[in-house]
Amino acid sequence: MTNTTTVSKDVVSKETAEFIKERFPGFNGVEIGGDTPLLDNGEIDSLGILDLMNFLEERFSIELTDDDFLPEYFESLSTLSELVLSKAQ
Amino acid sequence: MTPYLTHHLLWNGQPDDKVALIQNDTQVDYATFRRKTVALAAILQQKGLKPGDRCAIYVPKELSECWSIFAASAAGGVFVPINLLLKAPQVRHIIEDCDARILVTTKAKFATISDELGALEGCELLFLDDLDLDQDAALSPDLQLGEDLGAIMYTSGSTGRPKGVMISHRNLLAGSRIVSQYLSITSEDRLAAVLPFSFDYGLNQLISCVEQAASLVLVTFRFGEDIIKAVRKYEISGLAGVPTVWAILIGSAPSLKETPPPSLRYITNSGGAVPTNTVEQLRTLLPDTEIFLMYGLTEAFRSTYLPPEQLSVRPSSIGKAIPECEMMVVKDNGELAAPGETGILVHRGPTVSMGYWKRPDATAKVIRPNPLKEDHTGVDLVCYSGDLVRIDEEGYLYFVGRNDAMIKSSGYRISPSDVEEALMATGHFAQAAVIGIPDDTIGKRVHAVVTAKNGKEVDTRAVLKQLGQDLPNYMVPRQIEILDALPKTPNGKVNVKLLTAERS
Repeated sequence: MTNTTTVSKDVVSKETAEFIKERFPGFNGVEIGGDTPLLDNGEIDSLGILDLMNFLEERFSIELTDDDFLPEYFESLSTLSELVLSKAQ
Repeated sequence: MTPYLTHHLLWNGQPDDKVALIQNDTQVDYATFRRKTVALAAILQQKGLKPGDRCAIYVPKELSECWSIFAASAAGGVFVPINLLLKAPQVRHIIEDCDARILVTTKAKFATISDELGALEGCELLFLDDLDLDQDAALSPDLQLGEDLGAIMYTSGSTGRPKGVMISHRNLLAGSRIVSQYLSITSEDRLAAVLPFSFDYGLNQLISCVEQAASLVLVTFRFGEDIIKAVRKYEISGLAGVPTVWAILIGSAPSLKETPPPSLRYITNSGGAVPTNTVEQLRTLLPDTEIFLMYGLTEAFRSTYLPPEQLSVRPSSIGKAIPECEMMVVKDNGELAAPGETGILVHRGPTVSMGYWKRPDATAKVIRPNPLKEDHTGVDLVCYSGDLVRIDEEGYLYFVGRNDAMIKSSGYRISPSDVEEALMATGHFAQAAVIGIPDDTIGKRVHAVVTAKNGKEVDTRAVLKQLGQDLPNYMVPRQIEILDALPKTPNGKVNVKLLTAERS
């Protein structure tokens, strides 16, 4: 079980980066930093976004609502981890 | 004159100032649409496009793609829309296979594949960026008949490279007329084109829209909210999608939960079955919108639809034959299936295509004489869909599955052998089997089961990345699973059924 209260931004970023590399082969070998744009290269399509959301929900035991599906949250690992942390509190 | 060629539909009495096409903040009226079509057709002819020559269209989803399609027809050519998700090797395959005389494209789009594509012999490039299509040109007299080839749509089967399905002008017009009729499309409608025009169902929307003097709004999206925003902004009345579009709408369009868009008169689904719970959610979210579940395959363009009023009675049905067509459910022994029985769906009617381009053997398997009538005409041809369906007491049909290994994912048809070939080409594997695993969102998920060459370790992520460079994303396996050996059938073939069953 993941203890959500102790999840840090670094852990979220690291694990999400791993997921992205696994699920979207185009990111493999790419250094994904906190501010690396996630949507610009077109690898993460509309379906990929749903998969990414499902991953975040399951891995970090959070519940995302429809209102969290905003492009600004998907800009980078940094914005995604902030979303996860705000939900985990 | 009664229209008999695709481009004739653009001269179907639409008022000059009626809005035909919309994208973002650009609107194009029918007069402009006609003018650009004629100007581009004249250029295609100057470039040497002869009647029946293939004109491949590799253009981003923008307004110019619409006039490229009609211009190819007006120039006497055959249009071949190329799916934008394809990578250079598939684009090359299509251009070479159909022996395209001209490739219509844009500089930016072409630049994404040009290095890998290499030289194209016998195919001239025409960049839309360089053209002035606002000059008046005259349309030359028609040299084609309705029976002639209007389009070639590339699609995959169970084996081999994508094949070109030959669609006559008569097929295109019949598809447009029939769909407009049962969806009651009129000039009042504003349709959203979310699907690509390289997909017969997406193309059908464009042609139906023009035929009915309606307006078409080109929509690109990543979030479900992008679609709903467009529906509200442009007051869309008709939206066509595939199952993934509905999953995305339900999953990522917050404002849909607040208020349904009042303009949305109908939605249609094709390209795979919508899970029953998704249908339920759509009915709740869109209480005043009619929901049409449809079924079709490129080889017969469109086949069945479920009337909206039947949705609550039989939400998992694909319905009955579209107007002007007949659906037969034929069992292995050649007899018609009785209620409750399963058989191959066989389609008869004016949308039955002309078969596969330059592949008479493959055509003969799919486009066949009517099995159920003694035919004295010699031309009563039907389309064997390869889809297994069940029929109920009242004649409604239910999709059961494929009769072959073809994988349907996100509305796309994927040939497992095509993916297996790409896996083997990496040189890491001794054997590879590609299967489709049931998935709620995308229908089937592409999954690879392999054995490593000499039992060596393989970096599957690196392999997936490599595949992603040569294959469109929807064909890249979600997972590569390495086994010591692949299970075999008594005949010595890989036991695909067992591999699939174990993972479903």
